[in-house]
Amino acid sequence: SASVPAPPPLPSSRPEIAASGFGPAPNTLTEPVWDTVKRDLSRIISNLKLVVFPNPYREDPGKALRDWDLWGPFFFIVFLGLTLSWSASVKKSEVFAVAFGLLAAGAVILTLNVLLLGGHIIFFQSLSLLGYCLFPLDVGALICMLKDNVILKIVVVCVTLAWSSWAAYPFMSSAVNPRRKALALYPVFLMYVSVGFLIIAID
Amino acid sequence: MMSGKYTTIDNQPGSVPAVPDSGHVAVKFADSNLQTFPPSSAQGKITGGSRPPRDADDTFSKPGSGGSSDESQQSGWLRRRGTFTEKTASNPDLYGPFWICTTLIFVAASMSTFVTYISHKLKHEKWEYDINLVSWSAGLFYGYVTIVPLCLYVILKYFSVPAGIVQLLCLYGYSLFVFIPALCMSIVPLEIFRWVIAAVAGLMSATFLALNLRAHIVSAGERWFLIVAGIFLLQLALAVVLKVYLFTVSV
Repeated sequence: SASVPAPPPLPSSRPEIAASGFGPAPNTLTEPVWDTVKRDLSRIISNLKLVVFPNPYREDPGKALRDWDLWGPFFFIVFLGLTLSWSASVKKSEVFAVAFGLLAAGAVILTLNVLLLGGHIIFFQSLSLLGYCLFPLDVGALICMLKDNVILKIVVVCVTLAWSSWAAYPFMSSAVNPRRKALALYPVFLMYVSVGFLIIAID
Repeated sequence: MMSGKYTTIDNQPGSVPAVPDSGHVAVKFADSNLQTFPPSSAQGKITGGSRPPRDADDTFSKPGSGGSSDESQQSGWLRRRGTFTEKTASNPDLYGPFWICTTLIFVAASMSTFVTYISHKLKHEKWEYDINLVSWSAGLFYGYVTIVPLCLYVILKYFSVPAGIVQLLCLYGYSLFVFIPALCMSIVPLEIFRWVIAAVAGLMSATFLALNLRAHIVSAGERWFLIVAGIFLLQLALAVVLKVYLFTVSV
């Protein structure tokens, strides 16, 4: 009788597969909360490094695409909304609502745009990558909140905007047909420009 | 039996055996005026059957009107010819209209913010960013481009001149294209210049809409003029509303 021996528990890159039936259940349900948080944080940081600091000499360039998660993007979107809301002098809650709505709906619409152009992309993976590419704009918004000089704001926003677009360019352009690359990239640029404009304008 | 007729033809030397098609037996084309253009009749008047066939995009009768490119995006500039609907009848795209609208929202909000910022700073007044501009312009543009074509679709169906809803959305989306440079040019702080820009942009875009719709619904009977006039006025009203709301600065 050939009974298949139970394979060892999967490595901790997929902790959410709790009761998959492969051997003893992984102990993510009973581990301390701090361990779970630490694992998610380390994944966020590693994905961030892979997406926002693209290194052409890296040995496994597709790793960020495979290990996508949605905590990082959620955190960055909320952080940007909060920063803009703190910076605003009036109508703070509306500013947060518009910023959050713009970023969340924008990410969904950009992904649908790629899919409708006949590109090949996984919906949540694209949401994840677009969210990670917001990190430079988060840094820019934080700097603009702390120092309220218009010239400095314009310079900082331009630099971070270029950085965000440069980070989003590789995976957006590789997802569609080369003839439609501009059609897929223009909306990404438009969204980042409008977010950058919001950062400059809100004081 | 029909074979009798064909045997006679077959017996003629050097003739091609006729295909048994009853409609084409022994038809000879006389010297028809349809073939010669301009009509070369010596009488100097055009007889009844010699009008050139009406062609879909008017190139037959107006050969020198200037070339038009195949790109849907650029045909928005060709307002005189009303040929946009023919070009996009088979493959209307919604990418152009949607992203033109979205770009317009951003341009409107940013230009209006910039204008109020400059005018407040010049008078050394305190300025606050009005976040409602973004949501207001989003509601206006998305609402206009979805609701007006929908109503027009229903109206056209009622008058039994059906037009596809996607074609109407495409038409309306591209008609808004001219507002992008118009809004950018409205930064200039001269009030009369802003009104001129708004009028010109409104007229151009309304004429584009009217020409394209007229080409389609002339067959609707006498009501077509009302519909086209209504569309024209609505587009002008949009231009006026944009100018009044976005660029009227009260400091």
